[in-house]
Amino acid sequence: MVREDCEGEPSSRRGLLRAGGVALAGIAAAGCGSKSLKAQVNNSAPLLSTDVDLLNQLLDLEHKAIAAYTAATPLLPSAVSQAGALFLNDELAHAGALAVWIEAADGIPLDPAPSYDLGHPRTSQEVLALLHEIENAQLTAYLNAITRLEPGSVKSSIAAILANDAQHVAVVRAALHQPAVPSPFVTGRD
Amino acid sequence: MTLTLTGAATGLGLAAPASADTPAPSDAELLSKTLEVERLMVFAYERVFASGVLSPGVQHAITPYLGHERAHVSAVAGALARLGAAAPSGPLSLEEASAALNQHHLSDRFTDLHTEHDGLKLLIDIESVAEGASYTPIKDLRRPELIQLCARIMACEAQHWTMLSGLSNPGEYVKAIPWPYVYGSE
Repeated sequence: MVREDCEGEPSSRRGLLRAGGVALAGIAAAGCGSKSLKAQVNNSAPLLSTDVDLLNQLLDLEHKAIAAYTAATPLLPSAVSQAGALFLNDELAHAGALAVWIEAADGIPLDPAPSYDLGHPRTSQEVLALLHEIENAQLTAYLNAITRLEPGSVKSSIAAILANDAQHVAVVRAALHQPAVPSPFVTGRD
Repeated sequence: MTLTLTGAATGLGLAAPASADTPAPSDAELLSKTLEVERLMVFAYERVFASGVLSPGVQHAITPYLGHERAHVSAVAGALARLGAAAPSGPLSLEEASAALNQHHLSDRFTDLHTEHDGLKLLIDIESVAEGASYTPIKDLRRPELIQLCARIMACEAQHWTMLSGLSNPGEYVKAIPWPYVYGSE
């Protein structure tokens, strides 16, 4: 199990993640926990080919989030743009994870669309509102998928991604001057 | 290095199913541990608020979180009761809470809170345990509504963790959301 606080300096770890991309991100994250990387790999359980469509739907949402953060981060206020860059990195990691699962289930990961309709946000508040909407759509989709995907270990992994996206939402809501954690149960509808 | 399937490539390893001679825990057994940690969480918020170490602004900002934790206790206890299992939901004593902290490898700091940092750090540490207490059962729970419940609670605890870490380290987003995946701690 990986601890959020298992290392001294998250910022230096982030640097490693950024430098190495998605694959290294996974290795670094897996390596800092009490459950060894080797054990995790050896204990892999099969994914179901019937889940490929659902996983690709989640991947499509990740692609859209990546496009949104890529476009939006330079438009964010300087105090928040650092967060936007971090969240983009997170979404890239999520997309990488989903693509690997899809391939493991004998599927073909969906490529990003040539473009996404992100509207025409003009102010930083409108940009943040767009990101809020996109993150919420992800929360809803992951909550819907978590009971449908198998095996159980995939459910856990979906929860690990869901919780990270929920963290993004909290920061985005705070930047919008809304209550960061409005409800005891995350739904993707707040 | 050869990397296979998900574990190495993504950090999201797929754990093996329980071995044949190990009976899988029941949904009630799995949830009872979650309830225990949620009760600890309620105790911790009450204790930190009562200690007076938080500045008014910080205390005001996180006061709703205590209500969230009480809602988690109520929801998990209700689910356990519907399963016909024991569902203690009353307040923990100081001794029970200290023992629970030790069980999760956290030093007993309930009587040793002197600064705002002490209070926030304690809450952050226990929020991490609460994340783990909702994350761990998800792979083994059988009932979809309980999987949903744990996932929604876990995501809320992760939001608390992030906001508390943000209060501890203003403007340092990398410390408030250090990883692309949330697992909590055991």
